[in-house]
This record gives sequence, C-alpha cells and structure tokens, in this order.
Amino acid sequence: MIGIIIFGLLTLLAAGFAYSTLSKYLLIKNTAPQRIRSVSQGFAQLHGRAEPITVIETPISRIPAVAFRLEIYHYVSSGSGKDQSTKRETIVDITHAPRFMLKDDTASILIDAPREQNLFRLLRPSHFKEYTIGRGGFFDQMRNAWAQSKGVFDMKRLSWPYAKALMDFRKSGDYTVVEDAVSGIVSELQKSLESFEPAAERGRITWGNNKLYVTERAILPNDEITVLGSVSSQESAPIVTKGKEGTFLIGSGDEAQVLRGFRWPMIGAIAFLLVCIALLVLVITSGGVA
Amino acid sequence: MITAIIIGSLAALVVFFVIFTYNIFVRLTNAVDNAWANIDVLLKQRFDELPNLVSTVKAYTKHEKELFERIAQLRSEYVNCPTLEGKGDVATQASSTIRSLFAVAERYPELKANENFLALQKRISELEDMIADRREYYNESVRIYNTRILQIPYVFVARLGKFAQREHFSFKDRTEAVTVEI
Repeated sequence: MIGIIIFGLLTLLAAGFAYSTLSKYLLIKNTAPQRIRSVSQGFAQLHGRAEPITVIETPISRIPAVAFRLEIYHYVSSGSGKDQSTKRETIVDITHAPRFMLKDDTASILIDAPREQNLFRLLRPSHFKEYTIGRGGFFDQMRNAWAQSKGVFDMKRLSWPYAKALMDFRKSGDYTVVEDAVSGIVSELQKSLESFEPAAERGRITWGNNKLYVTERAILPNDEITVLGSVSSQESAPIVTKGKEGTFLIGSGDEAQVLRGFRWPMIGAIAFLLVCIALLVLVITSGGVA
Repeated sequence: MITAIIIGSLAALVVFFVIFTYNIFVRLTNAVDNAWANIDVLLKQRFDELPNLVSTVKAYTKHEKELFERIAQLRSEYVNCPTLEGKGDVATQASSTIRSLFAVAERYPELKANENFLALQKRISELEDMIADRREYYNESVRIYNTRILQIPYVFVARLGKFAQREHFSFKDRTEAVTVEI
C-alpha cells in the first residue's frame, strides 16, 4: 500500500512536470510572432537582436554582455561502498540580466527579464565557456598542494560572503550588493586559471581531489534571440515582462531554434512519466497478485 | 481489480487529454479574437483620422466632392459591416481612396507643404504599416488555429467542442474600387 502511495505521488509529480513542459512547448508553437512596431498588449512572441541599455561585463571572460549566468559547482561524495552517494553542490549560481532592448527591423522594445536562474534554460547562447578545475598529473598535484597551503584558492572561505550577498540580491535585484562577492571568487579563480594556463575553452587545473566546474553563459550585444512574455505599457513605453501570464522565456535564434531547445527536456519529461507509470502499474499488479 | 485500475487509468488519461486540448483551443480562439480586435482598433483609428485629412484637403481643393463623400460613406459602411470579409473589402476600398486623396495633393503644392497635411499623411502611413503587421499576425494566428483543429488527435476534441474554422483577413486587390477624376 505504501508503495502504491509513493509511486502514485511520484507519477503525479512526473505528470505535473510533463504537463508544464508540454504546455510551454505548445505555448511557443501556438503563439504567432509579432513585429515590434505593431505589438499589442498581452502575451507575445518577439524576435530580434539584443541591445544593452547598460553594458555589463561577464565575470570570467570579461567581455561586454547584455546578460550572463555564472555557475560554479562541484560534486561531493559521502559514505563508502554501496552507501556512497554523490551530490552536486552549487557554490555560485548567479544570473544578472538588467533591462535591455530588443530590436527588429521595425522598432525596439524594452525587455525586463525576471531574476531567475532558469532564464538561460532555453538559450544556447553565442557565448558559453566551461572550465573544469580538477585532478591533473603528479606535478600539478604538487603545485596544487602548494597553492592550497598558501590559501590561494579557498572556495569555502570565499563562498560565504557570496551566499549572504546573494540573498540580498534576490530581494532587491541590485547586482552591486553581490558583485564584490562574485568578483572575489572570480579573481581567485582567475589566479588559478592563469597560473595553470588552461586550454582555450577548457582549463584543466589541479586542486586537491575535487573537480570544480565553472560555466559562463551570456547574451552578447547583437545576439539574435526570441522573447516570449507579457507586453504592457506600465512605464509609458511598451515593456515585456513576466506579467500575469506567468511565462517568460528567452531562446536563441528564431522560433524553430527555440523549439529545438525544448525537445530534450520534453522527451526527458515524457520518458520520466512513462517510467513512473510503468513502476506504478508494476507495484499495483504485484500487490494484486500477492 | 487490476482490469478496473487499468480501465480507470485509461479513462483518466482520456479525460486529461480532452481537458488539455480544450484549453489549447480556448487559448487559440482568444488569440485569434484578440488579433482581430487589434486590427479593428487600428482600422477604426485610421477612419477617425480621415475627416481631419478631408477637412485639410478641402481647404485647398474645391473639385473633389465625390472623393470626400466616398470617404464618409466608407467609414459608415465599415462600422455597420457584420462580416470579416465585408470589413476587409471596405478596408481595401478605404486604402485605395486614401491613395487617391494623396494623389490629389500632388497637384496642389501649397497643400503638399502644409504641416498639418504632412503630419496626417505620416500618421496614416504609420497606421497602414501597423495594420499590415497586425493582419499578418492575425492570419498567422488563424493558420495555427485552423491547422490544430484539423490535426489528429485534436480534431476529435475540436468537433466535440464545435470549434469551427476561422477565415483569414485579406485585402483584395481592388484598384478599380474608386475611380476618381484627377
């Protein structure tokens, strides 16, 4: 009976996830794109090029951007033998997306993206850098042990002020409150990246036994994007926000490219639902047989 | 017991599908209605600008009575027209008449230089561009809606919910709509 309840709840959860993913997919597919000059109020799909109002700089590559997301994470193992489990631990995950303009061949419109980590979920941005800082050869380890002993890169020490500042940033939306903390981590990271001379896209830097993953995604000025959101005229000029519809999506390229970005999450959600249903049926039938 | 559970699950899936699809159609219908309302509002705005344009042109020309009367007639025809096709027809004639009016202005240099006339000409041209954009959006919304209600398996729910095909909004090419002596 407990099994049926557990798998029943899991199936409901999977159904909810599949419903939400499929709804978003169909929402994009069923919403005709509009031109900016004649956009009407309400939910709209717009396509154009991103133009910054305030140019920001990406934290790692230091290039001008419209919006960026920085993630620093590692995997932590606990237990041993069969009980060993590994979980991902996020150290830094920050999305900075101040208001920007979307411009097509007819006009431009203000975009106010919500401060959410999943803003880049659909985006295959033109700028994507990934670094892995992990175990290398013997000399790398020796050098790393030295770096550690000198306290060159102490992630735990650095991440605490960030975690504190992040809470303020989420409340206020003012990036400056978290900027120093992120810069602190990044500048330490830069030291390591520089001292170990990473390959162009992927650096392999030794640091203890843990691998540290760093990813940086950004919308760059003039990037071609598609925005789905609610158009209103709350501030004299039209603006695209999350609005009452509760949906705000940014994707790379045109509608077809955005839909391609949705393909794998949708396949995953449906596969997960089918597995849950199969397990539920299995539990029910085995219970029935017993 | 197991058979009952399987039948119950299948029934639940069917009900879920019907509700899900019905909601999609409601959303698509609203999108088409909104898209039409957005064109309608611009067409009315354009008709509202026409009396100002006519009065400006009248001050300079005395022999275009037929054209001025036609504009006033089209305005009332549009408001009273019940069908989309009819409204499209009237809108086409109005566009053609406006072009004729601008052509008249070409013969009167003083009128062409009049600031009020230029501002109205600019405003009407902007409205025409926006109408063209919104017509494109409306027709695309109708295309999506019409495709969905004919697709399997949506077609069954569409018939159940009596969702009918919607017509596109087209401006017929009717250059002969208004014949004006210039």
